[in-house]
Amino acid sequence: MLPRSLFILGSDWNARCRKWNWIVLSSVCVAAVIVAAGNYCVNIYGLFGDIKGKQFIVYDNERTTKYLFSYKYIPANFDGLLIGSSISANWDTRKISSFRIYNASIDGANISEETLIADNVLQKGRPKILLVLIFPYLTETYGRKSRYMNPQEYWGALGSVQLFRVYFSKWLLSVRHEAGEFNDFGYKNYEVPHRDPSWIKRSEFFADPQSLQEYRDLLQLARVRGVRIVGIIPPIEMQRLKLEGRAFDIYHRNLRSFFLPDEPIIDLNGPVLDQMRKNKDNFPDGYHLSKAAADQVIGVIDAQLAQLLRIPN
Amino acid sequence: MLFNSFQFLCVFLPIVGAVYYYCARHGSARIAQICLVIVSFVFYGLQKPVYLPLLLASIVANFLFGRGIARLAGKRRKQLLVVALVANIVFLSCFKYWNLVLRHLPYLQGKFHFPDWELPLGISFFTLQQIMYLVDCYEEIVPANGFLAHAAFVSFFPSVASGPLTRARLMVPQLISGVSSNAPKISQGISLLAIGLFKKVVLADSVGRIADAGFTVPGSLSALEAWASSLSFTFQIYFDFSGYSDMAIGIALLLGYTLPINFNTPYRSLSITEFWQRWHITLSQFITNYLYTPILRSFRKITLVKAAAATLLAMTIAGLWHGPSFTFVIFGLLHGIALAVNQVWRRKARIRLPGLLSWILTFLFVNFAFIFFRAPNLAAGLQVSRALVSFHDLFTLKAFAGSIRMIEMPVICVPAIAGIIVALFGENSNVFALKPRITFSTALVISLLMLISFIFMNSNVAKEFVYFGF
Repeated sequence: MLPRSLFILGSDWNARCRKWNWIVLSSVCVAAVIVAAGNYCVNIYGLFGDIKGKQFIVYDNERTTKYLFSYKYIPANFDGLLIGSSISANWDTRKISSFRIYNASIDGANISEETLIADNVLQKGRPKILLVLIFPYLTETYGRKSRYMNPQEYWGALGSVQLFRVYFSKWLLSVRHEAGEFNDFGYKNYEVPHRDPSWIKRSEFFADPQSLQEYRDLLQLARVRGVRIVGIIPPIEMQRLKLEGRAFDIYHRNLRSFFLPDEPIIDLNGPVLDQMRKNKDNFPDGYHLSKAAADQVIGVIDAQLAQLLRIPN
Repeated sequence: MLFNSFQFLCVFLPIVGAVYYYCARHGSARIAQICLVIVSFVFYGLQKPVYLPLLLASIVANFLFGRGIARLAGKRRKQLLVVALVANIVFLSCFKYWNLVLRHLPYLQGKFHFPDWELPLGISFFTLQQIMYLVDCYEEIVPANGFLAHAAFVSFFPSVASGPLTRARLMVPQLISGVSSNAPKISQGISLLAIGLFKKVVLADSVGRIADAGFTVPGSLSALEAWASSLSFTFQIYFDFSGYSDMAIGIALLLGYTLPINFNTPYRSLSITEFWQRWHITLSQFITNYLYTPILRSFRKITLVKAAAATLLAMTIAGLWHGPSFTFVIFGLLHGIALAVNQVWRRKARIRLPGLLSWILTFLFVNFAFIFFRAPNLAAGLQVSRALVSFHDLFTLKAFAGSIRMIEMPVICVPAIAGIIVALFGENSNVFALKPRITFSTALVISLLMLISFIFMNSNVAKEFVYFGF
C-alpha cells in the first residue's frame, strides 16, 4: 500500500513544489523503466536473452526489423545470408536444403543498406555462406535510403515509435486472423500486381562508384571472415534481356571481376530457366518474379549450390 | 550536444545541475559564476571544439570594448562604440556573408573565394547579444561587466546556441547576486523543459517530415501538397523554435535564472505588427531598439513614409541576419512591406476588418513568407508559391509518395493535428513560466509529455533545431 501522504501535496508552497518535482521526476523514471522492461521481455526483434532456436518474423518496417535481426537473431540461427533487393525478396530461402540462409533482401534496398545487415552478421556470427545478387539496382545508388537502419534503433527496441508500430501491425494481424507477409527466414510472401513493363533501351546501367566500392568491401570482409561467397545473377525476362542485353553484359562483366576465380557465380539466365523466362506471366511487372517462378528459381539455386559446393542434395 | 538528446537530458544536465548547486550552496556567487562559465564552455566545446576559441575571442574583445566605452567620454567614446560595432559585424560577416557578396557581385564573381567555413554555433546570437550590451554600455543603461560576469552572460549554455537574446541588464544582476533557485523555480523549469521537449521532438519533427517531403521536390507539388508543405513548415518552425526557447528558459530556471520569454502564441495574431510582438520577441525587440529606432532617428523629420521606409530597411536587415541567402532577404523584405502597409493602414484607413478576417489574412501572409524562409533557393520558393494556386493539379499526393509511407501517416498526422489545435486554441506555455501549476493533474500531464518525448527521441537520431543553422 502506498502511504496516504503521497497523494496530498500540502499547503506549504515550497514543500508542495518539492513534492511535485519528486512526483514528476520519479514517475517519469519509473514509467520509462516499466516501458523498457516490458519491451525487453517482449523482445520482438530478438535482441535480448537466448534466442537460439526461436523464430522471429517481420511485422512492419522491414528495414528496421531486418537490420535489428542482424544483431542477434540471424547470427544465432542461420549459417548464410542472401543479399538482394525486392527482386529476391520473394525467394523462399527456407527451401534451400544445404544451408539455413536468411533472406536479407529488402524492398528498394541498395548495397549500402544491405551491407549494414551483412556487416553485423559477419561480425557477430559465424556464417558459412553469403549469396550476393549481381543486379544493377543494388549499385545504382549509395547510402541509406531512409532514416531507418541506424545503430540508435537498437535502443529503440526498448521503446520507440517504430516498435509500437510493429506491435500495432502484429495486433492487427491477430485481430484479422491473418498470417504475416514474412516468414522466419526473411522471405516475403508477395507478388507484384500485373502491369505493362516500362523497359528502356539503354547501352549501360549507371553504377555509383561508392556503392561499387562498398560491394567490393563487403566481399572482402566476407573473405576475411572465411565465408564462402556465391554470386547470383537473377533471371531476366527474355524480352527485356533482348532489349537491354548489352547493358546487362557490361554490368555483369564489371561485377564478375569483383569475384575471385574460386567464388562461383550462378547465372539464372542460362538454358535451365529459359522456358520460365519466356513466359511473361512469370514476371508480372516485367521485373519481379511471380511466386511460382520464384519457387522454381530457388529450386535451381538449391541444386546448383549443392553441385558447386559439392554438398549432397 | 543537443537539448533533445539523451546525452544532454540524462547525463549533462543532471551532472551540471548537481555540480552547480554544490558550488552555489557551498561557495560564493563568484564560484557559481566560474562553475557556470566552465560548464558553458564545455557545452559549447562539445558541439565543435574548434569554435570555442572564437567564442572566447568574442567575449574577451567585447569585454575590453565595454570597459573602454565605460571609461572614455565624449567623441572618443562614440568612436570606440563605432569601432566595436563594426568589429562585431565584420566578425559575423566573415562567417555568414562574404561568400554571398563575392559570388554575386559581378566584378568579384569567381575572382575571390573565402573558405566555406561552417557557421559556428550561436554566432549570430552571441554577437547580437554583445552588440546590445555595448550599446547599453554607451547609453549608460548598464555598467561595464566584470570579465567573469561577462563570460558567464555571453556563454550561458541554455541560451548561447539560439537565444533568447538576453540583455545584460536582465542577466548580469542575476549572475552577480548568485543563484536563487528554489523548489517553485525547479517546478517551472521542469514544466517548461517538458513542454519544450514535446514541442520539438513530437510536434516539430513530425510536421517537419511533411515540410521536408514537399520542399525537396518543389517543382512537382500539387496544390494540396504545396499547402500541406508550407503549413507544415509554418508550424514546424514555431514548434521547433518555441520548443527550443521553452527548453532554454526551463533549463535556466532549473539553475535559478530567469530568461525573457520569446514566443507568445504568435499564430493567433490579428495583424502583422501583433505577430512580431509575439514571434521571436527578443529579436523583435532588438530590431525595434537597435535597428528601427536608430534608422528612424537618422531622418531629420519623421513622417509616416519615412517610418515605413525604416521598417522596410530594418526588416530586410533582420531577414539577412538569418543567413547569406536571397530567400532570407525576400522573407525580411516581405515582412517589411507588410509591416509598413500595416503602419499606414492603422493611421490612414477608416475601416476596421473583422477579427476573423484579420486573423486569416495575417496567418496566410505569415505562411506565404515562410515559404521563402524554408525554400532552398529563390526558384524553389517561387515554385511552391505557384503550386499553392495551381488549378491543374489540385489534390494528388504523388510528390509525397516518394518520402512518406501510408503507414507512417498516423505517426505524423496525429501529432501534427494535435499541435495545430494547441498552437491555435490551447494554453500558452508562458503561463508555466510565470507561476508553476502544482496539482496532481499537471504532474501527470508533464510526466506523460516527458515520457512520450523520450519515446519519440528514442525513435530517431536527434534532429537539430532549425535556428541552430543561423
